[in-house]
Amino acid sequence: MSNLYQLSYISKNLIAGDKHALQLQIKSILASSSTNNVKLGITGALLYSGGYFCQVIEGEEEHIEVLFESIQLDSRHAEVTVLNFEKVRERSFSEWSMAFVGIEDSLRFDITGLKDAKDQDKMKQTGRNIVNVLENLVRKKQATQTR
Amino acid sequence: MKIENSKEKQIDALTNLPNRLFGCQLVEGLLVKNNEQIVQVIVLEISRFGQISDSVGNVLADRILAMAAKRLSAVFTNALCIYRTHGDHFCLAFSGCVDLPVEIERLQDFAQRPFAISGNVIVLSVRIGFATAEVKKQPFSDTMHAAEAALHYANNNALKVCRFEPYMLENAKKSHQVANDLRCSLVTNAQELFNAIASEEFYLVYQPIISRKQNKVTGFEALLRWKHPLRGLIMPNEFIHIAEEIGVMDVLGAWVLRKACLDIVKLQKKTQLTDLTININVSPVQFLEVEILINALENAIIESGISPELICIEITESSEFINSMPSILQRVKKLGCQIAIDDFGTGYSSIVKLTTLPLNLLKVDRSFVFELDSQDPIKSQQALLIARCVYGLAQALGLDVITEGVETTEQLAIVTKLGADLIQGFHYAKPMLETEMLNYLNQSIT
Repeated sequence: MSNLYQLSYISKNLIAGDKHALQLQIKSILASSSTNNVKLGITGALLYSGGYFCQVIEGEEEHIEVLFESIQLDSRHAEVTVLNFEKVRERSFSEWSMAFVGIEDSLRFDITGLKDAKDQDKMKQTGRNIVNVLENLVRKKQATQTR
Repeated sequence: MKIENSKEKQIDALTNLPNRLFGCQLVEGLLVKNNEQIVQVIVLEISRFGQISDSVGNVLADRILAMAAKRLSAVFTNALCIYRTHGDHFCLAFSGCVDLPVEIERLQDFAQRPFAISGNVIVLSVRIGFATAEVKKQPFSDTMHAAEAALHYANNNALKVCRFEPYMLENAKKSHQVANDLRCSLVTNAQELFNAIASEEFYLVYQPIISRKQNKVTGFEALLRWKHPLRGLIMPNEFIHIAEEIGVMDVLGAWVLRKACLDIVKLQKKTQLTDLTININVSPVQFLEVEILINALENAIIESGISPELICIEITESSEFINSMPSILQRVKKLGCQIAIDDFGTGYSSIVKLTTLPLNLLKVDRSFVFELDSQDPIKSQQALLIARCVYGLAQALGLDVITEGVETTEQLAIVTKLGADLIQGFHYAKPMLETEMLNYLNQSIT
């Protein structure tokens, strides 16, 4: 039986410097992701939005646990808020070890509202919405690149 | 120093970290080997881990501890040693060259980053005690003990982080002595306890409750005191939590119920004031032993012959057992007693939860009253606003209000203007001995 899980979270960027420094760091994050995630059978997407990382990871439960813990140990971000961590029937980003959606200057999400949310169901729904947003953005990007 | 060789005796199987004894030995060894001058120690405790364990189960709770230990090891590679002292307590030892405030900040940051375990997201928070010492001045175990005393102090004072100060060891020692004395005084069978109490180590004092509208004393609140033969007067805030911890609160609580009922009935008979009420505090821990509590209450009623409706049981709002309280309080209510929420406005219970309790009374906490005549207009305005809200809420819920801690004429004037009827506080009278109550009533406004 499949033990496929999906986890989405947002976290605050702690990378110092300008956009170029940020791009370099994100490049390094993606490089290590693509190697490690393939080994663990993890797929997902990453968006940088107005000073926050927004990431979705999906894979076998035990691998998600290991990867998520290693993400926690990364000093390049802080204030991690998990939006959803749940069993799913299929992957949303099956073709991507870590799809990078892009860097947006303005914040797309109501971070304060998310952090203060006490309602777990509401958080989960927000997580699912964010997964949908990232899915659409990845598709759009894919379409532009193949055009 | 001889270091124990057996691995099972050195390493904690759950976290794979050194255990307390071996951790201490390792640090002692490293301090000597590296010729360290200063040692710095952080002792941390995972806050409310018992509750987490209750909600996710022991297996998952053990995994959380193991993952937390792993994270500590991964983050604090600059520590001399990290080990598990016991339960949800860990110790991190650093050399003098490490900037401890920075490490404490990192610890708080990394500790509260979530764990994803078996489909659950677990977010922890930690409480920290820390101490620094010169290596040559004291053994490492003493420094660790100091950090633990700071953690203990942090726990008792709701602090997240606490630096060790020598008085904390004194406090811890005193608290330990009080616990021992309490055990000696109370670990006995109930009949012997009553005899011990008859020797007047424990006694009750009574503070009158006055109705402004009826212009008379309506009743008294019974307050417990402990006159220790050597240490003198010990107030409830110093010993009740210990009585709760060591499991003697049911016996002590039963004695309070009985004694207070007997005393008030005696006073009713002497004064012919047959409607004098008695307010009695019941510790949240007593609600864990419901049958004992109900029996004690029934016995107190039967033995004293008091009309049950003249007993008002006071419970604290901050009680962590508030969820299981409605059914228990219904049983208290069935006996005919009244129920009051004490220290109202200082606890954590929601108004929704309060409405599920069969209450008769709210007792407005003294902290709000205290600020009412403050010289600082902002403080007094805020206090006024809160007081007005509480009276409004009580009225909306159909509850009576006792205003506690009224000490000055100004405070009395303000709360009276707000509609307060029942008043308790030094303005009228300090708590008094049973033998003084009759005299007080004869001289009072009745």
